[in-house]
Amino acid sequence: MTMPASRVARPSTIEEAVRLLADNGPEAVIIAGGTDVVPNLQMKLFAPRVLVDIKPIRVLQGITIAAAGALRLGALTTLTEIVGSPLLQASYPVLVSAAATIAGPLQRNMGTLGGNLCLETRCLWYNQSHFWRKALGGCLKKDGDVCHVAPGGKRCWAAWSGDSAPALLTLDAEVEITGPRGRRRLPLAQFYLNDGMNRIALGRDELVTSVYLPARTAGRRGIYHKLRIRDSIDYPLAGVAVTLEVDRSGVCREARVAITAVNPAPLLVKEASEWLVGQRYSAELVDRVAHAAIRTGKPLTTSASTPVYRREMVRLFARRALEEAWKNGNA
Amino acid sequence: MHVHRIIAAHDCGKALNPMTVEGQIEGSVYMGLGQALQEEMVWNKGRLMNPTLLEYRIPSTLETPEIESIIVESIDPEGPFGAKEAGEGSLAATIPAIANAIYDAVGVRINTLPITPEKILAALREKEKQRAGNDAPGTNGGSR
Repeated sequence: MTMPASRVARPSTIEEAVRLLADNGPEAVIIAGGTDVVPNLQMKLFAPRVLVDIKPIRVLQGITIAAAGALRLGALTTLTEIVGSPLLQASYPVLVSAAATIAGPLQRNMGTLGGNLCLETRCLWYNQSHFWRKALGGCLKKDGDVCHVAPGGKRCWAAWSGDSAPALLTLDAEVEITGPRGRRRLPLAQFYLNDGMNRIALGRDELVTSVYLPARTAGRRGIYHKLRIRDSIDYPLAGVAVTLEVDRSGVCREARVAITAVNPAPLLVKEASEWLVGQRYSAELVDRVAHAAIRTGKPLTTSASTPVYRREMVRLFARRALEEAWKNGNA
Repeated sequence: MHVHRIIAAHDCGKALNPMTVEGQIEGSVYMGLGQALQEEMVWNKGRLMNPTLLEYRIPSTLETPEIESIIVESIDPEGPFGAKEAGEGSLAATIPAIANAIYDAVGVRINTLPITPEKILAALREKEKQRAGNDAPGTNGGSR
């Protein structure tokens, strides 16, 4: 599986990168760590004329304190940096918990937060070699007009398979996007479009430059649970992130539950905050929220594991994560 | 599902190079481990759905437990210098060993490979259903 021939452009400023993206339109693809883009290029899922390598852009690196006590994570912050950051471990444990499960150590060293938030959606029928897809006759997402997951449908169900996004959703994170018209900030929940083909609200001439974690969610208890067949180098087959703020008397003050890998987007479980805030722990309540998590998830046969089992695990992980966060603090 | 430790004893006749024999045993055990728990070729209408090593999941170093190899020397009169084989013998034994360990731990027998958590869960449910049926005929189906 050879890579298609592309020119590599290495801008050293955000402005230069944006100009390259604007000039080349759909012929350009952004590359940073390359852990998602390179295998996809090898499978010829896309063949851009220009690869815009944003690694040399220094201002996109690192973790800094921003205005109003928010934490700014540059898009090029590596997943290894996140896992090893004492600041994040202390203040936003759910993100560390999730980042630690992404792929294997080698990919975490190379892979960036921005890249993990912009992953391609994944499907058994899409993430295959060019040869394989050609024999199949393509699918709705690429080179064909039939969805093999939901035949007859006109919607692509390729699954969002990132681990950091659900964790960031439970922290009310915002993404900063830079394009020819300047910078804009967007709640992460609005960044995901829940469409396998058009997964994120990012223009062809834009790039994700930073992620902001608000001060108000610092210190929230949190944990991420991930279903995978082997403990290393596996995309999630299902995942649940939970954050809770519990006061001294054991009453829940804030709560978020987000799920991943069971829809074309990472999604917040809307009922969770509504039902949990103001309540004390009870097994029955936690069970009810876990059921709401299942209803939010819509797993289809986009991966090796069956939808039935993935749904079951969403419920189990939601229950387990809530119990752990509630009872043990940062489990 | 975690395999914590595997102990494998292998009769190789005569260990001409004991370190190589241990390596062979460890390699075989590792292959058996993969076959027992993870590795599977998934077909759909003649199409291999997992043709890459990302989805055909061999165990990595993180899934491979401590393996203790025991070399048994029986000195085979037919073999060169008393040696037999140290190829994939330990592979075959690893799979039933893991299946038996699962039976020992949770009391269900899985007869198809790989033995996934999903299959174990289904078997446990089935067992529970049968028990409920046996214990309380005519009631509303037991404890769940």
